[in-house]
Amino acid sequence: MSLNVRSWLDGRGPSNYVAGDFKKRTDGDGLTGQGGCVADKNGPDGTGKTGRGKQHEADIRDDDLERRRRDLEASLATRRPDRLEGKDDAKAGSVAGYGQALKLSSEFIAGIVVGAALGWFIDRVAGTSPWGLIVGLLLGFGAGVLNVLRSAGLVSEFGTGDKPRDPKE
Amino acid sequence: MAADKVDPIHQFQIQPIIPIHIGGYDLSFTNSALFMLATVAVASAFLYLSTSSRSLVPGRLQSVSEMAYEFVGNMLRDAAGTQGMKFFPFVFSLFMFVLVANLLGLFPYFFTITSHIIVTFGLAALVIGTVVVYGFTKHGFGFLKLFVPHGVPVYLLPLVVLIEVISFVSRPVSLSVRLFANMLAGHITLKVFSGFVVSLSALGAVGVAGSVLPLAMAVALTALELLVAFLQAYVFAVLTCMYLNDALHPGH
Repeated sequence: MSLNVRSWLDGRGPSNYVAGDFKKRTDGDGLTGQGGCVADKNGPDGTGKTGRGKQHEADIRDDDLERRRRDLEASLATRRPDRLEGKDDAKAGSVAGYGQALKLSSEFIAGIVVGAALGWFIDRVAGTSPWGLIVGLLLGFGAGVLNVLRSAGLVSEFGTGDKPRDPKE
Repeated sequence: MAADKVDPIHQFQIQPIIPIHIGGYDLSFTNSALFMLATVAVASAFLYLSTSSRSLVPGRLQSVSEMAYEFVGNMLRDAAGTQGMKFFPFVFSLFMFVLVANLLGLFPYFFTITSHIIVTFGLAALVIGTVVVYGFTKHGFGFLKLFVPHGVPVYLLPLVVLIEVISFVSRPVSLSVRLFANMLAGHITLKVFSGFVVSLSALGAVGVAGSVLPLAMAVALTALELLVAFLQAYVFAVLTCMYLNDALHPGH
């Protein structure tokens, strides 16, 4: 897994992978090389020449295989997260969306309700009606928006001015 | 009586079972209290009995208990770190209570205690009360740093602090409203569709044939409600963990 992540961090994106694959084909080291291999194998076998030549071919084939395997690994590493994410979205789309909508709306409404209630309470205690309610409602609106953004992971958590946590879901 | 049967709100009525009045206060033992007791009894009995054998290779029930334990444990450790594990009994009790209450509510003729906002608000107030009390005893007035984000210009500070305070106070409200609204809406929907089945099948052969549709819907909704019961218990526990994290590390 660490190897996958490293190769991903190296910037071997899908475009890199395609370029590498293309280069390999034009080099003549990949597909054509293998084709040559097969033809050669038939040749020496017919003449009865074994040993060093065959060993050499095997080396080439192993190298080739090794490199192909690495390329495949890299390409899988770049594609796997995407595919998993896509699957999750597709599977949990309706239910998670419903949950998310309820979550965000309850956060927003709670902010406004609490702001208005605090303002109303201050009005009752201090007799400043209707200014407490008005200011409380406006501040509550701000708090509601903040709640929604925070719940969606777009604003930093409480007490931190740093970057927000990674967005939830 | 017939009107009662199709009334979707009827199931949420609180009826006293043993009337108790002390000093002008109504302290009756109601169906809500009965089901709270039943929830605690079922949760405790399940956990106690399923772990009583304590075999090294867990059986089915024991592995369910262990999964619940590890699930809540990992949740708390992820959100609040290893220091947060001192709150594990609290979070685990809350999770089990809400989960069992939600699941018990799915049985026909059972009372859903989490569909009353005063119950969910009581639970949420417990959470926020714990956060505030623990935050102040652990950090003193440093806990108030929670409301002061870093890097805000001084002239904006009063406004931002006010908004942060309102945002903090709105947490128990949104926590309780979310659980309550989910359970209430789900049970009303279920009741309405089941009511369609009853009233349609009273219309003769055509009605019986037509009542298949709302019946299928009621079955599908029951499955959805089962999911919601788990999901809301999970959400409640996760948010509790996040709030406890604020009490443990205000201002980080």
